Amino acid sequence: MPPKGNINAKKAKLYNSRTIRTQLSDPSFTEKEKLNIADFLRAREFEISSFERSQLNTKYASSTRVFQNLPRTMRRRTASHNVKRIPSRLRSRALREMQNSTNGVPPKKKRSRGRQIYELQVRRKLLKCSSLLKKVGGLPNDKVYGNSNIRSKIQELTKQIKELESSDKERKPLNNEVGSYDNTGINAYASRPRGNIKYYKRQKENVWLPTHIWHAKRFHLIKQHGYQIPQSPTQKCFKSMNRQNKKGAVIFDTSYYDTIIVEIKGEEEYKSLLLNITKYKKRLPDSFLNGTKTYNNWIYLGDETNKVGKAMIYSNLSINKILVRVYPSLFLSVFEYLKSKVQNYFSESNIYDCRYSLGSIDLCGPQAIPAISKVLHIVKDQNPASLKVWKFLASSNDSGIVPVGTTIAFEIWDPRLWKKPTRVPPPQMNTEFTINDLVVSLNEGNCDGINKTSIEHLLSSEGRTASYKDQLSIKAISKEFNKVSPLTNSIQHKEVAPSRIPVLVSKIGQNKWTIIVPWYWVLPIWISAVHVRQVLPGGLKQLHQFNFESLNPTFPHDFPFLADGWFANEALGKLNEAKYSKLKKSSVNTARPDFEDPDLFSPFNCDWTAIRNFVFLRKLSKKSVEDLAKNEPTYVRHIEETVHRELNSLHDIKQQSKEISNIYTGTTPLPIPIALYNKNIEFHAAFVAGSYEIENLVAVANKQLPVIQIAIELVNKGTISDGARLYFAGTGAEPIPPKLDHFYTAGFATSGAYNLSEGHATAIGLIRADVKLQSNHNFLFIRNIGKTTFHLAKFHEI
Amino acid sequence: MSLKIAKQSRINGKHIKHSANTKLVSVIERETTFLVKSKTPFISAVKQIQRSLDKFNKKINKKSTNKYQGGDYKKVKYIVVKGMGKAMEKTLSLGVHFEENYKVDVFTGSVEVLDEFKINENASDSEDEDDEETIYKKRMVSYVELRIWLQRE
Repeated sequence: MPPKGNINAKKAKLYNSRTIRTQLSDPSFTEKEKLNIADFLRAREFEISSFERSQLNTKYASSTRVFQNLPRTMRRRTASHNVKRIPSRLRSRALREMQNSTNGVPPKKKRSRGRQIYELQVRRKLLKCSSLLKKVGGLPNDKVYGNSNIRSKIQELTKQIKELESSDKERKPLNNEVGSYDNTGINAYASRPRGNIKYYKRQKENVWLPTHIWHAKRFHLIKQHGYQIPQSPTQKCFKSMNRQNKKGAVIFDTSYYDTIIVEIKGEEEYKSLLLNITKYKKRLPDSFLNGTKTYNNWIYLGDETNKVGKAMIYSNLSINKILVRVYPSLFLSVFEYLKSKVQNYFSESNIYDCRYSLGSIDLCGPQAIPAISKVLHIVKDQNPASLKVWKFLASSNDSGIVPVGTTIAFEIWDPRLWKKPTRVPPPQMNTEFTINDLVVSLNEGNCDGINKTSIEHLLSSEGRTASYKDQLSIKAISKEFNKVSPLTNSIQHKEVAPSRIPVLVSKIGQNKWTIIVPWYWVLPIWISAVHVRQVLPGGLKQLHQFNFESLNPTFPHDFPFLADGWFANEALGKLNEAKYSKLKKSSVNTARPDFEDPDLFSPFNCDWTAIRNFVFLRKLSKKSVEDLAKNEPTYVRHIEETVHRELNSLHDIKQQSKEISNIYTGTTPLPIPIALYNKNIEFHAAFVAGSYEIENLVAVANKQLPVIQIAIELVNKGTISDGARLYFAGTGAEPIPPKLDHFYTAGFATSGAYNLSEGHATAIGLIRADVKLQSNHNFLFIRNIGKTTFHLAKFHEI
Repeated sequence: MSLKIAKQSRINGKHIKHSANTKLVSVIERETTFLVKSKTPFISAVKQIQRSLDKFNKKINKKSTNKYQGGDYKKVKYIVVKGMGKAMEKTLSLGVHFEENYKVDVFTGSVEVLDEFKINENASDSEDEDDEETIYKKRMVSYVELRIWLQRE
């Protein structure tokens, strides 16, 4: 960064540019300083009006096309050349503008000839064949998706169609005309859904979510974990999303979360598996075991210390099934672990990979359930308790009153059978029973919102397949609507579309719900849900924003002590470094703090390795920081001709820290340099007490530094950016500003920004366990990368 | 006597207070209701209430398309200001402030709130975590409601 110019001079220049000089010698001044306003204005009437007109002219001159007058929410992609993207009232003007463009009349479309036209015809035939195959109830086989040419693909498809037409109806692979099928892997991985034949090549590497095409028109998507995931709407939405999360509802297609179902017949084995993977060690709460509540916390693989991430677990002992829903990067490890467990059991046990057979929609905001209830129309003959719970939730504002884990399961009709979002009739107005009573009875376990048949259907392949039976296409639905009066809002569902969709609704976090449905029902629900007035769609970035605003960490960015979080941290470092190396030499100030020696302490990400090295090397030197600081740097002296350098000054420690990764020659990869603090681990307890020992350099590279996850809020004004450094504020009662040296860094802010909900800057971060537990106050200092200012901040453990 | 019983039945655990706002409100209701918290600064409350009163005043809000003079907004007669518990005193002083220029009605009542107690919250030992228990208790809290009548002309 170039040095800033004189700020005062800049301000003065800006001020001067905005002041308009005044004329004081005018005939309208009757006396010395008195102005006759009427006279003065009359003389300038023409000037003022032409000035105003010119202002308007310039405003409209800059917007040359009609759609530029539209508010941003109404603008659409390709509106500049496709009039259908513009509201009909402006269409004629848009057409006129297109005619008068600099190119003149839009050029005529080029006609294809010869070979090109033949290729187009063949491709069309392929699509026709594939849709015909769908109609007769079949799926294209592997040969069609293989590397053959189009002609052989068509031949294969026609062969399949003929076979299916001659066979009887019962044996057809699909029970509907829209290509929905249940894609579950039994004790093995499920095969990837290939999608429509027109787009199958694009889905080879990354699976499309059910709502992919809807999102592709409106969102930025990223390819991650084998999925194409919606990241953020193309429109600016930071503030509007915050407001929506406070008052309305935001929905997310989270079908990329991977679901596993485990079926265990023996009750003892069933319980032991749950005790093994959850935080519970001796006794499982009944509400969790019997399926009235979900578990939303850490999932453990193997032993107590091996937390891999947070997951949602639903267990229902009466049907012997456990549903585990994890972030896609965790899927492989969780699936393999559960599979190995299940195979060891004697009783009849199975594991189902339901990645592509169960989809989900997440909802945030206080109006989440009232909004989605306008779309989910419950089948009436259900468990009356689940109907009652649903009605209460649908007619109340959830400001965190409903406990996390609350779960209901029921069956719904196809939501497309209703033209408009329709409110659930409110519960019978009984002044005695309120939402508060409902919460109390839910907590006491008196209210079972689970409809058994629906949960059975949702968690079994047959049930999900049955829900797709005679699923209607959009065309078929509009045909049905054409048969009735245009004023009718819904069509007779039982006769038209008998399919019942099993749904599981659960509160998975403060202010956050999830709806789990069969994969091919996500799209119909989504399309209907986005028409609800209170609802806005969001993506990954919005999930991060909401978590951040409520001071909750987001997986994986805020969990660098886990494998996935560490990977994200390293990747971020590489990206930032590549960006930095591309900057012009003239625009880089290598003298500013943190950028002097990137090899020693990286300014590009959270360099926990360096902190770990500093802390343990100091311990190895057996000297205090103050003693080390007193000694001047000298020439290198090695202990007994080994690589081990004598550690006499801070300089020695810094140099040794740089070399430490080269010294290690072991075959096993080095562990992540940090671990979440757990007082039951011997080393962690000793570390906090200061009574631990470090024997040699290999121990330095192999030990993990215990850290604690914290939420940080600035006390005064200031900003926090990602990767800001945290500093110890002393052991006394009052915080003492630290010195600007890497040696005093105590942690990092993993995500930091201005928090719209709090009204000041906040951050999520990690801090050394000893620093957190030794300070007598909840203060620390925070400094952004490359800056010299320390901001005082308050923190609390998450 | 009652004090003694209250002391005995005291629950030891983390107390989480929940909002009393569990009713769904329409957009108009939201725009014409102001909830006073114990944290709300007095002057900012005055300013916010004044702003919503001014929206309905033709003399101040001179926009040609004034939505506050038509449709369902036409039926709005007053702005509601509510405060409960500790915030009641502040609410009443707001009432006194607005009484100078507006007609103000005062209503009293009580609302039901829900308290959540987390027992064993602080115990991070794995053995104790199994016994973590949540208790919900209902409680009645007094509140006052001001109705500050609009001046549309």
